[in-house]
Amino acid sequence: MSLLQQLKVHPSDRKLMIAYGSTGVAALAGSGALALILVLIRTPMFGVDLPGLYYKMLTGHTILGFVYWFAFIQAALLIAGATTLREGRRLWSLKLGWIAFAFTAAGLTTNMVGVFSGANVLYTAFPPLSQEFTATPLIYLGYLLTAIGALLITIDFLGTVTTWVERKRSLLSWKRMLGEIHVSTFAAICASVLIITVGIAALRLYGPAFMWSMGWLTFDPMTFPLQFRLTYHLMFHIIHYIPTIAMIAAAYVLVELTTGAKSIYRKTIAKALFLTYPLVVPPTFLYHLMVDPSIPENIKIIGSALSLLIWIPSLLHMFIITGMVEAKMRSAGHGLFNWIKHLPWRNPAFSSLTMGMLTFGIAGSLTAVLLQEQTAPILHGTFAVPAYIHPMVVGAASLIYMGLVYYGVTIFRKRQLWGLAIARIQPYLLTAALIIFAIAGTMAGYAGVPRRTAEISYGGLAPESWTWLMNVTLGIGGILAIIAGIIFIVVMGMTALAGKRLAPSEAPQGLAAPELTEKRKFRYTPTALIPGIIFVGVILAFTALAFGIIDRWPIHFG
Amino acid sequence: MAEKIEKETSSQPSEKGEGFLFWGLIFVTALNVGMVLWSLNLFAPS
Repeated sequence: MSLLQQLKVHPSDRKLMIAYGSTGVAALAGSGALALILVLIRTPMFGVDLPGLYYKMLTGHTILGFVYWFAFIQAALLIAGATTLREGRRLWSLKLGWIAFAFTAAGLTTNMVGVFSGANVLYTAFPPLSQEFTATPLIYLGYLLTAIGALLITIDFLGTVTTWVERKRSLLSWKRMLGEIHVSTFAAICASVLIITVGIAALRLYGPAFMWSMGWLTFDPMTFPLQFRLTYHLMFHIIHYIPTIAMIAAAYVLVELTTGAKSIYRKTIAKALFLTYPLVVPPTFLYHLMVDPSIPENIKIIGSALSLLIWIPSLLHMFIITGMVEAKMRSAGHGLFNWIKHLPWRNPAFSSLTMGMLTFGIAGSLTAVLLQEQTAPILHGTFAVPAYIHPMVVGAASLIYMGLVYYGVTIFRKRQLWGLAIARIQPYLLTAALIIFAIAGTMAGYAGVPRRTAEISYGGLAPESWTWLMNVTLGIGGILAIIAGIIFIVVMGMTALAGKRLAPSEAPQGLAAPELTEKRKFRYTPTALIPGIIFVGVILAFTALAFGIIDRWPIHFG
Repeated sequence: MAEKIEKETSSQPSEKGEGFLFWGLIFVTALNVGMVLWSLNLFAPS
């Protein structure tokens, strides 16, 4: 039986999942709408002069995109991992699920009221800057509510996991359950470890910060901002890897749904690789603090070296996923590279998966220089940072989630995909936009364009290259990405509300895996090694380039 | 002994590495929670 046929969910659990998924898509739409205003302000050729609006839009855009789109969609994936991938088994407590949803929705509402009441604090809300805005408490309170929501849905998920153990006192029953569950469900358990860690850190960070912003607590004005930043970076670093795990877990489901491929390696290997994230993520948070003068240089170098560990599990997962497809296609008789031509490129969920993996590789290779002790201080305040984070967040993670949403909306709403023709274009358009954004934005960053500044002409003193680089980055890349986002939202909305109803045994059109007849057993996947080799080569090239730039920099640090 | 009997009598096939996954999960949970509590103590506002 294919995975698509196995996907089942109880109507009550489905309602909760739809609530999470649709609120997440709404947050994404809101983030995209604010991105349009940012693009109009920051692109020199559009010449929209609204610097007062800039920081409000930037704060709203990042909170909606990075915090709430992910918080909601990942909670939906957590529920899917506990129910849909377990052949429709029930969530441990539906009531707790709805309470968690209510907390997260309250966090979103509180934060948006704060943003539009003038808390231009960016998503970081660092003191002492945050003290300047009267609406700041709403930002800290919103984050607190969201952290509670995330902790509650994770407790619900882990409670569900315990119901799968036949004999709770038997160690073997626990081990057997972990061996039996889907790779992606195991990944969700690993992500839960990080969510709990992040939840504890968020409560510890934003609880006192909220009371401080209300004037109920006073801290040393010299040490509090520094301590806030340290705790923030510990939490924020771990947060990054929740989408990483969720995205790769989603990729394992998508590869099965879109190609019918099964892993040729033991499931335990993929599961063990997921375990390495919570193992290597906490000790590597130092790479966010490369510009902190209070941390000794040797500690920063250790942080740089440890950060290299982060790529290893992701690279190996990508090899397994690509290998699954290669083995499936070559078992059907296709040649060494010929199998690539026969992949279901017109299935928007499959192209979301492959384009997501491509943008993941591009963004990952751009991070190399941002993790190193010598280059990070020079580049972290430049546009090189948004140039990598957008292909990582809007590309890799969001694209792969979008691929699953294509299935989710058709299966759960029992409707055909509306606008299949434009849905087919959407992942490619978004990827092309993000590649333009990444390349031109990285060049802009290396040329010194600042990261969070509304107006970059500096009265005509800025280098001429900054103008055309930002015109290409945002004027072309940014606008195309927004168009791709609008297509996704329209297709999702129209499918949910006006898509043709599916007959009980009917499969969604354009999303079915290709029918392949196995002609031979194929157990080796050499082509799947190629993306990893290219990735390592690109990282080395970028590092050499960055160190070349340092030598030509007019100011030397350290 | 009880585990041995259960292993011998269970109808479900066992996959290699289940023990590694179980103990690995326990270890990384302890590592993460321990590390975050230790770090928060270090960075706690005075």
